[in-house]
Amino acid sequence: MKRFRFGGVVVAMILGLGLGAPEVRAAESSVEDVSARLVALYAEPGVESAAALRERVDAGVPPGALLVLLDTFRGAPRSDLVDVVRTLAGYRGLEVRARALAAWASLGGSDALDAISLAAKDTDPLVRRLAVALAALYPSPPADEVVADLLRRDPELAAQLAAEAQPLVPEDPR
Amino acid sequence: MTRRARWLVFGAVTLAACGHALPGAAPSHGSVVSDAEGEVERVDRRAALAPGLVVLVEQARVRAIDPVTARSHWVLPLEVTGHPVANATTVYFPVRGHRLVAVDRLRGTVRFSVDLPGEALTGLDVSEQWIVASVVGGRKGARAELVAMASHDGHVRWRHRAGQTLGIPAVHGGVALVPVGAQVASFRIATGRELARQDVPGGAVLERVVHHGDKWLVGGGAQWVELGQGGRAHAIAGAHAPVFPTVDGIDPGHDDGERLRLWLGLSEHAIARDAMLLSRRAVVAMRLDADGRPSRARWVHVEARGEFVAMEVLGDDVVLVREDGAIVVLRAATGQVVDRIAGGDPVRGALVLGGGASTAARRPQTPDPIADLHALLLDPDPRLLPAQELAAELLWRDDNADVRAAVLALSSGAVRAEQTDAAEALRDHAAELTAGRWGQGSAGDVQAVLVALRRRPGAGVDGDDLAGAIREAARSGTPEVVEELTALLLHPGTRPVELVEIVETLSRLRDPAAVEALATFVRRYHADQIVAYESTALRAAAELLLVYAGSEAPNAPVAAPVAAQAAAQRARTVLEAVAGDPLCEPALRAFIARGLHRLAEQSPDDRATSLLSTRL
Repeated sequence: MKRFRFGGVVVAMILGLGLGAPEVRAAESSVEDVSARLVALYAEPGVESAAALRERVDAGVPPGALLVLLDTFRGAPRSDLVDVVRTLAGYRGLEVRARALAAWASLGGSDALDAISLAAKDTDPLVRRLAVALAALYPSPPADEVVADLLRRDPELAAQLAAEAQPLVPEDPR
Repeated sequence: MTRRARWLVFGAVTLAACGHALPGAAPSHGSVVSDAEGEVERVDRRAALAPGLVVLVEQARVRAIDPVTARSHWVLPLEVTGHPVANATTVYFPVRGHRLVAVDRLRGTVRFSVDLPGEALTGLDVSEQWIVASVVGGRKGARAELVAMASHDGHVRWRHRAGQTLGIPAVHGGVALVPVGAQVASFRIATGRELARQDVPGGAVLERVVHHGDKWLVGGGAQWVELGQGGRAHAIAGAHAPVFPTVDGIDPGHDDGERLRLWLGLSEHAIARDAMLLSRRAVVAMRLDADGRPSRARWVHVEARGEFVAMEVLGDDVVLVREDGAIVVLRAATGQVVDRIAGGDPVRGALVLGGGASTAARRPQTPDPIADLHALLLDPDPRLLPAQELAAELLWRDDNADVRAAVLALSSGAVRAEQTDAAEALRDHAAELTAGRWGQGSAGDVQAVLVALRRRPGAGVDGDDLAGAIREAARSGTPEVVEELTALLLHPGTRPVELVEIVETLSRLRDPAAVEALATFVRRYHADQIVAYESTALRAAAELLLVYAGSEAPNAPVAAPVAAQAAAQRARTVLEAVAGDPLCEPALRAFIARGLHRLAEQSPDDRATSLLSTRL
């Protein structure tokens, strides 16, 4: 149950970050074409389709289409395409980067730990906060150490998390 | 003691000294410097009053010219075989037949002529009262001898046999010093007694001892040691000419090698601060850094015709003798020509004696060494190659990337593209330079920049000094700097203001190694409006790729280096793909399309011309 609750937090954070994505104008409607092509390539197993997907992503894709691809990845992770999400975890745009880290972590095991470690070093506090959420979602002793270290280095985040953990106390009506 | 008894004692001492043989490697003893300092020779006052004189050594005669009045003082039919030396009153010429001729400096009359000991002369030096010579061969099967003669009559006063070839000696202040193998030995000049002997670190290349100012220096090639300073060695890094030319045991006289020579201006600690390279038609004056590397050009003089066969720095002036006997006097501080005396018959070399160089005041000119270095690089005369290599080095050590661009243009074949051995050698030298450190910063400065650049942006990392380090990298750095800059360009935590600095710095450095990262940056973000609008970095990166794409000249006379060709090709391919993407940020797309259109309109010749004008 706890796992699902944190999963919900991650989804909410990512969707919240996604609000800042550029609005796709009518003239840029082909972003959907790009998204559809990426999803189709992703759905098709095989080396050739994987290579075509890499090539398309490397050629430069609007952030909106990348978000669709990363959501698809999270829904059905493919370890043979981990290099794609790893590259996107270094994207300048916050929403793409955060969603790529979450997608990378969805592979579990050492990939999750790597994603958490990278998120914990990020310059953006929202991504660092994501590291804590991902560590709860994919728990391991090394991930706990990464989070503990992060909270030592980032007292502001630690204070925020501590405040959120406080139970709500009803006001005394008197 | 009576006068006669004193003479007897002197004779006995002299005879005893004559029987002494110099060992090749004896235990070091004494201090050559303190013994030298303790002996003060009675200096002839006429030395200070001696007029300036340039003695031109022609094929079968010598001619003495007054460098102020241009009047010929005297001419003698001497076939000079070695390097002449002079004191205040006399010039001594080693001549054919292994003889030494002493000529009165003022009148040109022969004072004496004597046979030199041994079989061939290694080197000579003279003080007011003494001549000291090292020769090959000698009595009793000796391989070499050190000989002291009286300067007024040439009579041998003492001589020492040696089991090995000696270097060129020096005499000053009552002592004579000579390199003996990897040691320097000092002798009391009056008696020939060995006073001291000192091991010299790295002494395998000892060619000669010189007395300079109040210092004794011993050296070979581009290395020297100041004696008496604990063996502290100095060297000119990557010297383009010898400071202490190799003699190989026999003085070859004035030969072709003298047209390539390095003159050093030493500080009080014998550290070279200034240097001048004579390279046939050119003279390049430069400042050296603490490591003895050329760091900055002071001035450049290139003679329109004729090579220089001799150079001497006399006070504020540099006196140069051309192969046709012409004399050119330059101001040492600025390189300004202050006097010229027309030549006549060809000369092999010259002895320039101080005191008479023209120092007529003229309005000082401000030299523009950078422009002169550029002009020197473009001169197709193959004889200037050593000077041109030095010019490239000095330009590469400049903090201004625009100045350094000339070396990049050379290495890529954008200039000096002709298919000659000299041009190829110059291009290779430029390529070698561009693979190393640039700018005036020391190795420590560059390391500090690298350390700052290697700190990746992240939580808790203070990146305030990053922009400064990026700017500094344009002044002084190594190719490693480019690696770090490109890594930072693609790092998600790099701030927009730093991105702008990075692209600007990469634009100044013009290293093809940056193209791949620039291409990745432009490709990755060309359809991301947030990145496109957060700074000018994306557009500037595209602009830089256009510059690289424009440097591709398919029919250039010389193929550019493979890396530069590949970079140009890669830049063009990426830009075409980006401009063809309808999802590219519109302003960026239009900018790239315009740039590609302009490139397509330019012929390869136009591109080469524009490169030449912007880089040089």
